[in-house]
Amino acid sequence: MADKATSPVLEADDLVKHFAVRVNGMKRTVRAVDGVSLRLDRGRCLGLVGESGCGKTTTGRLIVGLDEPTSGHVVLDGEPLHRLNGRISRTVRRRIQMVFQDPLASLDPRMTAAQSVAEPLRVSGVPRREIASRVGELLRRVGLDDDIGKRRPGALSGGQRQRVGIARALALEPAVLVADEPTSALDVSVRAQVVNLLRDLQRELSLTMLFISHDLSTVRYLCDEVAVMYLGRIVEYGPTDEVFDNPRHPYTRALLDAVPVPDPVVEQTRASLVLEGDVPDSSAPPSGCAFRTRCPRVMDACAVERPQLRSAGPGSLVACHLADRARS
Amino acid sequence: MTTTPLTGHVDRATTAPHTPATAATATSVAPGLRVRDLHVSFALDDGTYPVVSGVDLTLQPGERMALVGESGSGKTVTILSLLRLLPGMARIEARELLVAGHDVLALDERRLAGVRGKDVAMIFQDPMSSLNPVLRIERQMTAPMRRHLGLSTKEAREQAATLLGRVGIPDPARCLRAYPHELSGGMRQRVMIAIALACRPRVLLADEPTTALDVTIQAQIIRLLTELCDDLGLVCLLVTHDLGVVARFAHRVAVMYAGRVVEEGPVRDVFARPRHPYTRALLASMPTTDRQASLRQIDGAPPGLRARAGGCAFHPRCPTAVDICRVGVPELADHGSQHLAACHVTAPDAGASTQRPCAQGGVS
Repeated sequence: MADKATSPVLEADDLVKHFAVRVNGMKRTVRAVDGVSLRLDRGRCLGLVGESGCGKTTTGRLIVGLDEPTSGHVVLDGEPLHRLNGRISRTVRRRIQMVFQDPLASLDPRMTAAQSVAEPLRVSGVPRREIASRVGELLRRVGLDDDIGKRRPGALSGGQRQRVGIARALALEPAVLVADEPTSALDVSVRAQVVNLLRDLQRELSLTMLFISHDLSTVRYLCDEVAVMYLGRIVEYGPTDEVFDNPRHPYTRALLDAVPVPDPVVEQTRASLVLEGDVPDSSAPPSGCAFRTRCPRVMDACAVERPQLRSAGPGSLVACHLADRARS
Repeated sequence: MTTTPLTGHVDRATTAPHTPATAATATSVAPGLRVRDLHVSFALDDGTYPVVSGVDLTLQPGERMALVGESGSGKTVTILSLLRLLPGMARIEARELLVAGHDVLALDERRLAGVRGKDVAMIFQDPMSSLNPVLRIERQMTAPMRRHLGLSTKEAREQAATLLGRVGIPDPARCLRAYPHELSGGMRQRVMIAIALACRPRVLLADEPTTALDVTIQAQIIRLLTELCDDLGLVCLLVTHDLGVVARFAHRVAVMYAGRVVEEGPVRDVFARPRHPYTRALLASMPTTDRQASLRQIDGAPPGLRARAGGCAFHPRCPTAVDICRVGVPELADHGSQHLAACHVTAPDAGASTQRPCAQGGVS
């Protein structure tokens, strides 16, 4: 899928983010993101999935420049997000926008919807007389009429709030949209509206999108490629259908098995593999492969050496000794 | 809390047609849970609003039922009212509210306390906020056993350890000494389940027990609950918004919208042949593997407490709404094989459905 002809819009190279924490008075380092490389091709949607604490949100925040990476770079169209003096390049930053999980928390309660959407335009110096028409256009684009623009977040429904959040993110015509769990705070009956909106926008504006979610069924529907994270690292990457139909990493397989599907016939007949135990503490990760403590197919080699992401078929990468062994 | 059972109510069709006609009058075998015509209203500053309107639920021993709905549909209020756990502004009324054989609305506070945690146990969504952060797990586990079963401290501790092992905690002795914050989310939920089972309840009420958990942990907890219900013959009512959890866990499902049960039936039947437009739309809005097709979205948002529509509450969002939907509240009608749906349009005797349906499941 990601052939060499298309040049990547955004490349994240070996991103690392460590947080210093204190546990019982002892200094520890949480390796929230531990060497993540991603590549987003123009007009495509990459899904980033994993459980809470796997570092997917931190990865998103590093890419939009909300957190500063411990090491690694983000490059947009050949231009680095972080300048040599360590500060963030504003011209790059404005072209990578984010849609947050909780629209109520990410919108200013005292601003009307129209003011929230106008803010990025105002800050970036769009002439005042153009702002109003542009805001109306953006709100209509996400399916809100002008009347809604006069309301504050408290007077909007969850779905409407998230539409405002999306309109705000689109205001500066970003090259890349990072959507961090944009549907998980919404009611079930409203989710499909927002998913359809994101898909239409992505197609019509040929938006490049990083879609971060733990909702695998939405990821499957929306994304062209998928990256699966576990404990700060990508363990599997590939075209969506390939990853879902033919998962190569035992963790991906277990994750797919764990998601209950709304079909009782499937649910009551399938022999699903249930992972034992919890996600390990990311300040003291297991040696070797981080997944080995829960892996149903663990081998001796897994404790010794950390498996590297290696090619496993066209466009697919997997970090597992088992896959390595099968290949050789 | 005021709890006046409704009197002088017009008799209506039993909405539990799988109950033998005789069981409606006989009291010999009390089902695990029987709710008839439950109404809950909240007295707020600007008036009194109905939250739950006329909910009927019947669970036989050993049955696992799921109550699904979106936020504000009244599903959590329904389950909390089964143990009268609602705040003072709530007014509960029902023609019948039998939980594990106890007439919950007739019990005084002292006797109700003897039922809560004993015959009827509850698991909440967020184990961190339902466990006491300053007490060790041992104290929290043994307290109900000493109170309800009259066990000594030593006996209670031994039983607590056995229970923790039963719910899959690897080192029960260590867990007993721990404080809640020292455990992971999945472990805390296992402790909650162990506490719920401590006094051998007959009815287990679970309010979104896996919503705060990751999918791999959710899978563990659902499997555990399923095994426990089967092994102990528990009646389990589980509240959730996740149709996948329903499909995995429940025998029967009741779908709530704006305070009413709009569809109820065996899980397989409801998922394969949904009869209510809301259930249909919910199932159709689930993402599929076909990425070319748009998701079938439901326009609009679920109504708030103060803005519920007259007639069928779903009519403003319903693609098939007709005139009658704006005026008449549809009754649950029998679609065969214990499958009920409250819709004017899909009712088997469409057109005549404004009248209360004659007792399909009752005495003919």
